[in-house]
Amino acid sequence: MTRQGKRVLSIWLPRLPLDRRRRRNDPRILGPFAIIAQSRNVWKLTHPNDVAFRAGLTPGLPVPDARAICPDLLTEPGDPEREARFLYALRCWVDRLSPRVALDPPDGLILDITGCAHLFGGEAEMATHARQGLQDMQVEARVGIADTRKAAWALARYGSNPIEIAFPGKTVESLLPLRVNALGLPSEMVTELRQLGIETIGQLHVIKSSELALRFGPDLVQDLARATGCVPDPIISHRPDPAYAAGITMPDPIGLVEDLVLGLERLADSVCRRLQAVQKGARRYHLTVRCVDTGNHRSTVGFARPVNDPVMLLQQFRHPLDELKIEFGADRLHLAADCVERIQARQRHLGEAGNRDGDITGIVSTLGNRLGFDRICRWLPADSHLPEREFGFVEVAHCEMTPVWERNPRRRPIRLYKYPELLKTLEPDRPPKKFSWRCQTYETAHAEGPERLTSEWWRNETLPLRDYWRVQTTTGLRLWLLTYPGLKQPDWYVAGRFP
Amino acid sequence: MPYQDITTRIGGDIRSRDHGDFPVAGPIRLRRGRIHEVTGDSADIFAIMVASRLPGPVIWIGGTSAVESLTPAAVREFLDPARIILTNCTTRKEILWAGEQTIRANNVSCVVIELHDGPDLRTSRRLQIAAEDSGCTGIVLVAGRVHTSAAQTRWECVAIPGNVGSWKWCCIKNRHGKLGTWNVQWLGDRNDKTGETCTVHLAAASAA
Repeated sequence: MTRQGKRVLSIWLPRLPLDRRRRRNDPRILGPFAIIAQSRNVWKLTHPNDVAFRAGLTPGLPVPDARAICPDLLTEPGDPEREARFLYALRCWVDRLSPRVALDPPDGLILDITGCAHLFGGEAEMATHARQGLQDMQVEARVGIADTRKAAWALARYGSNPIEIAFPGKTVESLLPLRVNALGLPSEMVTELRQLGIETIGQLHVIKSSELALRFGPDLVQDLARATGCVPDPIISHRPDPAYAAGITMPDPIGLVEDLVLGLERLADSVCRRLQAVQKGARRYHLTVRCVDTGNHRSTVGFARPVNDPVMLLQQFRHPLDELKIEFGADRLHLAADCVERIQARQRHLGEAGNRDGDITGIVSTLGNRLGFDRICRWLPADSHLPEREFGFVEVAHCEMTPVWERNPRRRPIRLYKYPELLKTLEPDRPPKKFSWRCQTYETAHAEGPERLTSEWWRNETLPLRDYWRVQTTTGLRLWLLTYPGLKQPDWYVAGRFP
Repeated sequence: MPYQDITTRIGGDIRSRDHGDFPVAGPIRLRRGRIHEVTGDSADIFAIMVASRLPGPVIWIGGTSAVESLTPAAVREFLDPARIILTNCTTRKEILWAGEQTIRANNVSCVVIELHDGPDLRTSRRLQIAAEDSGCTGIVLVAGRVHTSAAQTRWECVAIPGNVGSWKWCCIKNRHGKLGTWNVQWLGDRNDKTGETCTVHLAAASAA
């Protein structure tokens, strides 16, 4: 029995991979172009574009054959992951039609529109609205509306018009003229049915289900029953990621920063309480202030760790709010959490060891929001014997663990100049007896070396051989001199300075 | 070796909060919650020594070239490089702002600020007030000229010729205490297991 009143809308995006490229203004799409996929060792066309269609190419054609027909054809393998993400993004848009939306991968969406259609002025208008909206986003769509999920699916894909609507209670009638593959059967079964002379669903419908089950197994009967509504086939909508956001609209515009802070305090409380309830925190918060005269002003603050503490939030928003120039007041505030992550509750160490670790989240966030988080870093040990590759930098905000440092067997200078500085040799020797560097003259009192370093053999590069000398000058300054051996007139550089 | 305790003569500045002092090397003690200026070729080793005597993370603020030239391989000998957090700034204004913010933060006990020219009276007073409020010790490394400043002490650090791992630390300004010169020698980690502040790294002999 068809359950009373249940209505389902199915959207088919027949050219999703092509539309994705069209939206990105891919110039290849202007000529003959096709998306291909590999099946059983053969690359086949899955989505030829219009130009390719006109040249006589059809989906399912092997690529060599297609190239023979149309030598200009450009192809690209499909990218299922990105297409799935695109479909998910469209799902968020389609949300406006009905709250119950389910993905129908790889190229469809299913909506339960029971009780929603009148908001758009009827089902036909709703379907047009959906199709038009997608068209505006350069996505081609076909829409089918019926009482059951399977019937809507079949109408969207195999109906004769881009918008196909089966009126309430007329679902079975509208399905009857469709071909059997509209039920989404496996291709072997379709071939078998065709061999028996069964072409349309109508022919299938008149056969007793017990006989069908005997011959083709229970799946076919089940599919047919689902399509006609004898068996319920609910739409399980996947809830999108919940949005942690709050807004406040004032009856009169406010202009004082203190008032804005009060408003923000309420929003932060609301957002943070919800985040705390699920033990999550956000790394970024966006605040939109709508000024009555100048429109929306959006400011963003970031955090070194996921945060759900309203106090920290207010502290970081203080500066952007102070910077904001408000003349005639603002009448709307909106706070949204971004980059929501789970907060791992951590055991605080007892005693001094815990305090020593010092919670520097606050200060890292303050510095990062003003200077940029990439500027706040710490060292990370790296395996190399070359002095400049013995360590790397990692952003503190994105590095949870504390690096462990082993004792270095080689003596290294405390300052290592990124670019070794050329010095002027006054009395040549190995290393120079007297030289000038940074406008000062030095005399070598004592030298140790050379420490000869070659490039890393496991890398595909050839850096010149280097000799490092530890040189102590008569003034006490200890320098690390560098030269490249093998040259007739060796140049000397200052590579670093010892403490 | 005459014992010189520079904190014995703490004067009367009643308004500022006293956070006590801590030993750096032998008799040399520095006051917590104050700004100390360091000049000279081996100034960075002074900052590292002070940092190794204070708990918690060390925020090292400076211009890009200064911060990027510091090597953890050499720092490792004196303190755990994982404790150091580097902050790259592009302008002097940014360095001073970041320095003041960090000193004001309550969870940091040591901040190193690298400047080319020393802070003037106004800037150093700002830093000093921030440090007095929070109890954080600030070390300002001055590579170029020094100006009259409100810093608690000023040190000049140079390496002693012919003796690796020894330096001459000269206190050339002290608001509440004595001036003096010390020869400081690095004796290495006495305790290899922890290598922490419990052992005396440095022996200092007065050479004034």
